[in-house]
Amino acid sequence: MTTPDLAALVLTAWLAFATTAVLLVIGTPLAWWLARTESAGKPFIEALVALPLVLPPTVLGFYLLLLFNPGAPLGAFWLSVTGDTLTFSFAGLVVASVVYSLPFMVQPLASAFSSVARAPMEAAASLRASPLDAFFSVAVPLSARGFITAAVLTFAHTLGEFGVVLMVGGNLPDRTRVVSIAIYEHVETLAYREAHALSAILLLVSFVVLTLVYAFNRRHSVRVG
Amino acid sequence: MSVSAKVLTVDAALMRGDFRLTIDATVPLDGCTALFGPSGSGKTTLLRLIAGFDRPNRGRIALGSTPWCDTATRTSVAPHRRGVGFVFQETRLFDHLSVAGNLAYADRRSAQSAAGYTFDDVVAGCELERLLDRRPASLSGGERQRASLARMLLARPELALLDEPLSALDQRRRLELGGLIGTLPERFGVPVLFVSHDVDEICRLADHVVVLADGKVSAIGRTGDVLNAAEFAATRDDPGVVLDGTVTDIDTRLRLVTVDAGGSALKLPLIGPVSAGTHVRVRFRARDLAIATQAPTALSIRNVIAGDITAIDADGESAFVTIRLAVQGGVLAARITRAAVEALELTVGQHAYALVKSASLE
Repeated sequence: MTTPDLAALVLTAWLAFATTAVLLVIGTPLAWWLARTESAGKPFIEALVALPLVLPPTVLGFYLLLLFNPGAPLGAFWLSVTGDTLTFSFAGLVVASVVYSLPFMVQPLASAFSSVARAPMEAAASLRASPLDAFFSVAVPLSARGFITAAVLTFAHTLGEFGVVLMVGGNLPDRTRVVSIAIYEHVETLAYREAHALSAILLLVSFVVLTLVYAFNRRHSVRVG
Repeated sequence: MSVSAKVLTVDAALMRGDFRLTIDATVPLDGCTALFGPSGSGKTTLLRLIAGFDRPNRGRIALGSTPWCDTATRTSVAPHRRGVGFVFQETRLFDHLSVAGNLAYADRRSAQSAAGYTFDDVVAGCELERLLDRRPASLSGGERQRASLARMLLARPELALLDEPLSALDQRRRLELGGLIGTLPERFGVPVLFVSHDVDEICRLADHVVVLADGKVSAIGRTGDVLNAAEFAATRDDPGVVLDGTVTDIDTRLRLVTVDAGGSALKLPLIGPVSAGTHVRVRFRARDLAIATQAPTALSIRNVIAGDITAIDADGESAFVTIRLAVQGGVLAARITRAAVEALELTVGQHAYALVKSASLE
């Protein structure tokens, strides 16, 4: 395997890890809120979370590109704080992937939380546990399967990202050139052997990861997607 | 251990769909108090209001002088700060922890509390020694309830709320666990408020009763007084009459307990463990009492109580009448036929004897 292809693999793995980590932090409170709320705004937020499932990645990527542009408030803010642009950068890819993979984190988590959000939390409160204490000591351990499912799906989904990356990241080696982009490039230049190698790796990793998730959830179904 | 006789003041209303709960009551928290009523009368909802899991639409709930919830001042103490223990009908043990883990969860968070009993005291009291390593999912119904009760005790609450703790159990386990619940105030110094729709259970365990009907308190008071009241009797099919008494003698050979109920000595079958001097309630169902005008001899019935007839009430259009007989310690009710009344020429004021075919020691 060539060095640029190896770099693309490493970059992709990093992107998937970073996206999963950020989504665990953002997605957990959001999923908890969705599982517990009786607010009239719930369907609106649920629809927003699910949008990346149905929107073409190019549409999502197009809007993100506009937001990331240094002329737009978000892009300008990022540039002033970090000195780097969000467009065509790794940070930009992480932000885009977080948006793109949001439903894969939030939906399994919200589904897992919905069965532990009331009864065990009341029991914990009757044992003098504060809501935050009860969340970490009762809700999280009881939702362990939901966390694993959500994290693995988010990771696997980010591995295969293409359209959004192409729109906001382009194809800069060591910066934004992820595996799916590298494969596309190989195919365009008719370098089928290299395309085969990378494709096979992606196929194998995705298949193994999904098999593990389904084996793990065999007796304990968590709604996905 | 003495039980602090605090009072729980509830003056609150809650609307949910067609259901309306309007409670205005001062509940003495002394020993065991039963919350009694048919299903749908609001018993569980009232417990949830007290625990803080639900909020009233309007009103005030206070323990002693500490307000827990007051919609007028928009204050509400969070459930975990109320110091209220709750035993849920479906136990709600934490499945990710062992029995010991469940108990330790409560113990750790209440260790600073003043209650003078330890983890081991509770484990012994609830007979959980051999279950500590087990997972909740592997426990039987009775074991789950005991573990849940122990976990609640280790939260060292100021008030224990029990939502139908015995309803899922068979008769034998009911008696066992009921006995345990009855001793909680004395052994662990915690007043108990428990939901029940079983008159036997209430008679056996409760010192006080709050009767709920259609979302309102219809009666409140000492168990004997509430259960003997005519309004209560009218709503039940033969709820029986309750006399308060004290165990004076236990005969293990004949398996009999002697109870002094306000001067009337009663011989009752020995069932559970009791000790002399224990305060008990004896329940007489009207259908288990017969009436004689002379003291009978050569009779298998051991309990004959003398008294004066105070009332003879026809039981609707049926063949039966209810005789009320004032005896030492209370007023008994006997259900006999109209024909017997005529044959014996029973009249109000007449001296007579109640023959007790059976009575239960509660």
